Amino acid sequence: MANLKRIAVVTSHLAPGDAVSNDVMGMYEAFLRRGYDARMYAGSSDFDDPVVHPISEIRSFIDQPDDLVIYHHSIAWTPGQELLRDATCRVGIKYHNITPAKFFVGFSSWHEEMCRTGRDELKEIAVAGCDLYLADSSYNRKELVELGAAPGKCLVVPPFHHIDRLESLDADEKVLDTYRDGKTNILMVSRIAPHKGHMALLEAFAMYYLDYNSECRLIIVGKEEERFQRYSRKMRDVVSSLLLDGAVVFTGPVTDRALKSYYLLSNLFAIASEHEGFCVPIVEAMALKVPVVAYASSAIPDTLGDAGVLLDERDPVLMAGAINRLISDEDLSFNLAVNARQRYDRHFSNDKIETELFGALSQLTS
Amino acid sequence: MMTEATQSQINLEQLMSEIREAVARREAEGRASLAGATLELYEAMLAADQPSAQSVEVSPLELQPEFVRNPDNRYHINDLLQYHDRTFVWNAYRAILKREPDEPGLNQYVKTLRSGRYNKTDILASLRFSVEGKSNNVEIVGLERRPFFRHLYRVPVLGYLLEMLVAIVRLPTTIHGQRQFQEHVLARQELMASHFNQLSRTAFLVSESVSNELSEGSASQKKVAELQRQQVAALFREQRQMSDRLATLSIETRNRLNRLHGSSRRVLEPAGASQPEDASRFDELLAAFADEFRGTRDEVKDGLQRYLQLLETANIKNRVLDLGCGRGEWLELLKEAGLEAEGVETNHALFERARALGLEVIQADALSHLRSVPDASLNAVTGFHFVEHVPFAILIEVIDEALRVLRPGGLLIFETPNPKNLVVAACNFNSDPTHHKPIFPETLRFVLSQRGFANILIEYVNPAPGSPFVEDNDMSRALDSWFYSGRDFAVIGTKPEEIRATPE
Repeated sequence: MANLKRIAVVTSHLAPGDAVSNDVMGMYEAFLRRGYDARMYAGSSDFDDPVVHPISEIRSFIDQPDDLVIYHHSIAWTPGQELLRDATCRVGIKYHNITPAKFFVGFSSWHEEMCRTGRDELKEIAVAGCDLYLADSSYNRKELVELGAAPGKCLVVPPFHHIDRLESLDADEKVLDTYRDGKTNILMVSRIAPHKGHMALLEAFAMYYLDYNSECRLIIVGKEEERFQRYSRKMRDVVSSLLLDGAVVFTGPVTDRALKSYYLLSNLFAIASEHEGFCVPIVEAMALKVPVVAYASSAIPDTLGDAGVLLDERDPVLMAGAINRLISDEDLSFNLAVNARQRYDRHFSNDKIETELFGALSQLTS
Repeated sequence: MMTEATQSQINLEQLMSEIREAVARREAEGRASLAGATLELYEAMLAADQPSAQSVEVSPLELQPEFVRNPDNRYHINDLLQYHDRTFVWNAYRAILKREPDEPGLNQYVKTLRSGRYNKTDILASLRFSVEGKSNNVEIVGLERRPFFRHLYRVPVLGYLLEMLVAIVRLPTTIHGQRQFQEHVLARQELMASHFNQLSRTAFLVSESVSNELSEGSASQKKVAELQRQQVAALFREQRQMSDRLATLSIETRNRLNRLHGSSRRVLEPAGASQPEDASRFDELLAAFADEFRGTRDEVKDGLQRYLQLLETANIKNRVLDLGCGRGEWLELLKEAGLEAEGVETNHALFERARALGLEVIQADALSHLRSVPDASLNAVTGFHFVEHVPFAILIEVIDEALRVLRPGGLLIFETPNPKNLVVAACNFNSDPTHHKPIFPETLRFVLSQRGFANILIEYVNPAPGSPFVEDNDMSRALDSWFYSGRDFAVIGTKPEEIRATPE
């Protein structure tokens, strides 16, 4: 990497609170720390600081064969494809996975089209012979290899995240006061979208609530999107038809301080998502020592490893049983949380991720 | 590694199999009733909303070929014009602006296209010659000249003539284009006709299956109703269990409150006066007195057997409260016979002795405890050698409270020394320094009756053995009655089924 000077980190759109944006920012900051001349480029950005350059200007920065472009691919974006096609420098891909379009059928034709096109683009990317393919998880890496990317060039580097910031913030006292009332709190963090498995989680929670412990609540933290109105409505119908009114809390979007509070006051993190390329909330739960129960879908087993309870079948009865076991067995719950934190320290802290990233980049010169 | 060594050893496989076993056990016990019925109901309702799974598949009508982007950024206008509507706009964005359309942009163009205000060429030009389009600089053969001509069309008269001229010059091309379009439309019509035929065949099949479904529909309605019934039944079961649990809890809470009351009194008293140690020594003394004078436990229990039979005859199995339970002989007797009972005792030493035997006993005074008991919640209230320890005014209150807390048909039993036995009245009664005053049997019966009890009986019990007055004459009988009649008597009252208004 001795001859590597300029690095452009590129993505379609940057927004606060978005996992891909956090990875782009984290990567950019890591490059600056190590003395590289790095810039971020995007189609659009919601940030004023740090500076994000428009993608149309990238050629005035990257023009030498030794320069490096790292393109974060997570949705359809034609300029990204153009960039790869016309690149005269070295190219790295960071693949965050793309939700299969089938999950959006009947909910949002916009997402359906964006994800279908994004998947088509992925096929081109995989065989474009880029210099390096970085994947958030083994699951993402496997997809790249299956589509034809050279296995030797495909490496796993987890995404940078905002957990250091979350840890340094003071928790929101009001949230703590509201929900620390002696009830058992079960937490799920994710935007409200059709592939996130809210219905399946509600089913399992209903089982637990009705059969084991009615002194509990399910807190669902995450933004509801205009485009997924139908999904949100359906979710609320399910809540009332399962007799769960009052036991399920939808917080909507929350501040980072409030998010920290929700982790602190929860006895358990439960997730029934059907598709994840990595799943940052699981890492947040691990870092903040909340034991995790999850269905073993997509990249979740890669992320959770043996630091939580993974269920191979999507069976609400089984999940309710697992929730009950963790809630009622405090020693087990405590030990799982300790293991989770150790897994976080070993694999997912921003420092470890930085080491992984530069380890992967050293391939470029070897 | 150090970190590996500190990791808690959790066997996840074993944990999973334990969870599975617990779930299976629970299901075998049939305990998952409410959630099971609820989820099944939810699924049945969802299924009712959804079209039948056996509906016939119709392949989607594909009128437009797939769009492939050109790496060299060059297109012929016809490459793009061959698409229609939404797909046309989507592909135009990807070709000209090299990006996916934003949602408002897409919707706006589709709207204007459908309104006829713009044609497809206008939209291509608008995209190509926008600021963003210019910076992308994609070449579209056949699109360039139009904007220039269009400006000239706006010049009065000349513009009109020019437009006509251009139209005439372009006529052959236009006619050719029209023919092409006509062919295109005809070909599409063919496609649509065959698609329509397929649809109508499908519709026939669907209508058949719909009529089948209608008959199945009522069956599924029945299933939903049955599941709802199950859900309601499960809810009722749950509610019953909860109210039972609540009753147990409220008794438990009351006991704890009483215990707390007793203990807090013990704690608080020293602050008030210098009596506490004396008082507790007094308790010990009286307890020792009971051991000395009341007789052995077995003797006392023998004497109480008859009251056990009384409860059994009345079919009473629980909710018995014994006032002044002392060392708890009566409670023990009831417990051995399988009856649930609770005692109340003020004397701390006696209370501790009864509690040490594992009996349900509360340290409190009888009246204040009775006041904390809910209405009509007990089957029997008893007091053996209790009433003679209580001032008369308090006794009346105790009787009133007993009437309140007994369920209709419930029993009140008091046993006390019999003053008609002169030895008892003159001598034995005075042996106990805590005795207040002997109570005359008829007086006690009268009071119970006046306060609202019914079917009141007096029984004379525990006669003194070895009477020498056995002859059958009046004097002998009188002497026997004065000196050797029952040393104690019992008064037994019943709370009437319909409570009479008690005199104020």
